[in-house]
Amino acid sequence: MTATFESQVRSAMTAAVRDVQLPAGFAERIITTPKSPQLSYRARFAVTVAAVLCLASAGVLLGGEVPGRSPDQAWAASIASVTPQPSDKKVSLLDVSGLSVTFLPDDVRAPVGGMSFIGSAGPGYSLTSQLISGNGQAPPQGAERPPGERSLTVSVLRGPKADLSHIRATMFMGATEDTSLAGAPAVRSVIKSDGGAKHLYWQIAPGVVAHVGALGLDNEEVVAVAAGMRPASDQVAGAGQP
Amino acid sequence: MKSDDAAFSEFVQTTGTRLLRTSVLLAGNAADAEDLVQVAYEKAYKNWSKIHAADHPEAYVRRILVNSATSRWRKTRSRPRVASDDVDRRPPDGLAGKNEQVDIRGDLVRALATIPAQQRAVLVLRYYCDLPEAEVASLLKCSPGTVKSRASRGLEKLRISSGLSGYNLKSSPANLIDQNVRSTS
Repeated sequence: MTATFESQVRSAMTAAVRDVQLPAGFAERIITTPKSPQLSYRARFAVTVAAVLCLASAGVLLGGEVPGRSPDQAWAASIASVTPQPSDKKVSLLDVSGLSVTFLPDDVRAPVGGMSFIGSAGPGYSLTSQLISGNGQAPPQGAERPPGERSLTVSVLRGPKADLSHIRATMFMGATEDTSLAGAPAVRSVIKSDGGAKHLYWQIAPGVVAHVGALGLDNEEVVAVAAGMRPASDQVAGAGQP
Repeated sequence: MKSDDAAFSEFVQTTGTRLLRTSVLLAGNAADAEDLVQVAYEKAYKNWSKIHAADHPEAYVRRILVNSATSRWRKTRSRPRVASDDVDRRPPDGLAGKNEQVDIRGDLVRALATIPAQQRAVLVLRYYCDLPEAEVASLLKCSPGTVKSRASRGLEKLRISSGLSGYNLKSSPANLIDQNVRSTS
């Protein structure tokens, strides 16, 4: 049976390409094509690596928004530029691409201790985030939170995924409710996980979403925190106004 | 240099159609097949003086062709496109009622294009180019056992997907094709 089938395959292959002919002048076409200088594999690899390094240093591949600086470098610069101002109880949060927001702690009665960088939000986001906690320290990974702790995380997300519909669908799997903040569309998490933290996201601009995550604060307080955040340009003109 | 060009031209004239037909079976369509053959000959032309002096220049070019076809498949990770125009579906003269044979050819080439590149290469080299298992193994840089197993798996897939086993093949395709060749010549 196999031998028969093999002979069928053999015959069918032969018949299928029986009319295929090499076009006239095929050899001449190859001979007259100018020979391009061909780099060796090693040379091509070296050129590729050099190109990747050039792009990376320009911040193109790593998604850095500041040309010439990687996101980590930009982050370091950003964190260094954040200065608590105990005199007027304002804390300026400056993000990597120049958008700064002002948090007015008096408005929310949240204890302001210190700040620490808490990490990135994953692919598709460029995140600026500050944790403001009661003891001034970020809680260690996996550590039990002290009862009654009140802490705040304030973030600015940028990028193609910085969109409320995406946040609705992916971050909380739809467990959100729509709301608004000073006329801007917003979503609030309604899940009880994450140690009971509350999250509020609102769209500042296309591709820019602000976020407040709070532990130990009620919804009104979270809204008050959000309402107390301002772009840097508004800081002088109308700090504290939603 | 001119004599080299003349020798190369003669080599292409002699081997081109054979390699192009192999390429059609490997690539599944005429356009890609012609590209593959051109790439293979271009590479051969760059090293022509060395290849020309070798014992089997055609085997060298065939190896380039098969490797190019396989790596192209790996790069695109897609099955080769099969254009219906590339398969001879005309009822042969004198065999107008034998459309079944034409269907078999079309089905086979289409089925061939859907099996993995390595198995396809083995089938084409074994059953179209009629190369012995050892030579196929050497060309594909694998063991003869691997060639056997790939051929077996490839045939099985062909048998299932081409539906050849469903045809009434009382008169074998070979006979019908031979008749066809005789009647057209």
